[in-house]
Amino acid sequence: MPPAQARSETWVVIPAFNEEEVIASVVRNVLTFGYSVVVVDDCSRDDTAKKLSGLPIHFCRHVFNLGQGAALQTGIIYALAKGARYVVTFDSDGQHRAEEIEKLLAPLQERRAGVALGTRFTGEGRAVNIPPAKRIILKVATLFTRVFTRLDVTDTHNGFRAFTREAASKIQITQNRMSHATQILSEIRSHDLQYVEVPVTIDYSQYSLTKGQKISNSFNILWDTFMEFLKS
Amino acid sequence: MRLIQVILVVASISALVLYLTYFRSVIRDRIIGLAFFVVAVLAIMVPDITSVIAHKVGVGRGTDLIFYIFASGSVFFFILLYSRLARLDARQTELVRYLAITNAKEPGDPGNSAHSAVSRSSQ
Repeated sequence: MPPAQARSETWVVIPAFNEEEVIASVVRNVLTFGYSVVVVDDCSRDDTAKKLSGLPIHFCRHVFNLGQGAALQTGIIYALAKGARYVVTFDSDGQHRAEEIEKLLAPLQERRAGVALGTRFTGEGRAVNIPPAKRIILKVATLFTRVFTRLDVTDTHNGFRAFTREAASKIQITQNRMSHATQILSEIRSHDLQYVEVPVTIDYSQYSLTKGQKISNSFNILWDTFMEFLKS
Repeated sequence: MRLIQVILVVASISALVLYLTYFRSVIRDRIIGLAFFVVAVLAIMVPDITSVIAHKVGVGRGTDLIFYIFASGSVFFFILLYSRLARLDARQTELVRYLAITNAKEPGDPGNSAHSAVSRSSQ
């Protein structure tokens, strides 16, 4: 386990929108590992901000709701400005496990890659309690994204990732809403960043499923990705 | 002069005046607007012109020609409007992000970190 000093140089970016039910426990859990945390509140209309009061975190708030992609980019810029050495993106709905952050950091610390992408579909990666329909949609999305981005990845819509400072400062997310997952991959491709996939566990709960994006949004993502592909 | 011609010419003049006084001050845009106006008034006052041009380009009636121009023109217009909207969106994102970062609350800040950032940004 690296010393505390090194740990606080790892910044965990947590975008949050109406997550009052779970946000505090998610953030507390990450804090126990000694990482620096920045929560980007994407203009929640519930008590997300209140639930975080008193916690030793950095907190940014969008005055309008812009979408998860925009919130991630805000958090990444903030973390870099604060001198982050590594940037981790982490979901606020409890789907990710804080103890697995170090699994993502390992290849970066060993200088094997600039980006570590979590995957729930290979090796020891697991998707606990994933509904069958969701699994199919994610597989199809992965297939499409592989074609569009020409990257050899097995799980394209996994929000659990880690970047070195260098990699994070190259990635520009302009897809404010949900199509950012594909855009991050396109950015990896266009900047020729070294990446590795790291098996992670995604825990689906009743809560995360109602909070997560709807399957019907897949078409929008496909459309944005296609437009992005035409522009590139 | 038919009544419809009067109505259309008055409408065209009003549109031109509005456009020139309120919306565009760039010379290039003013000239385009003016040219558009002249063509419109000409087509209203001497409708046969459109038929003559229509025949020349292989369209049966002047009305059809106008319709085709209108249709392709509006497609162009929507694309223009869409790109402007996208640009506005990008600017808004930048602004919201700037505010979020400059007003960010840090662990050492007085008061409890998250809550006071909210009350500050909603003022």
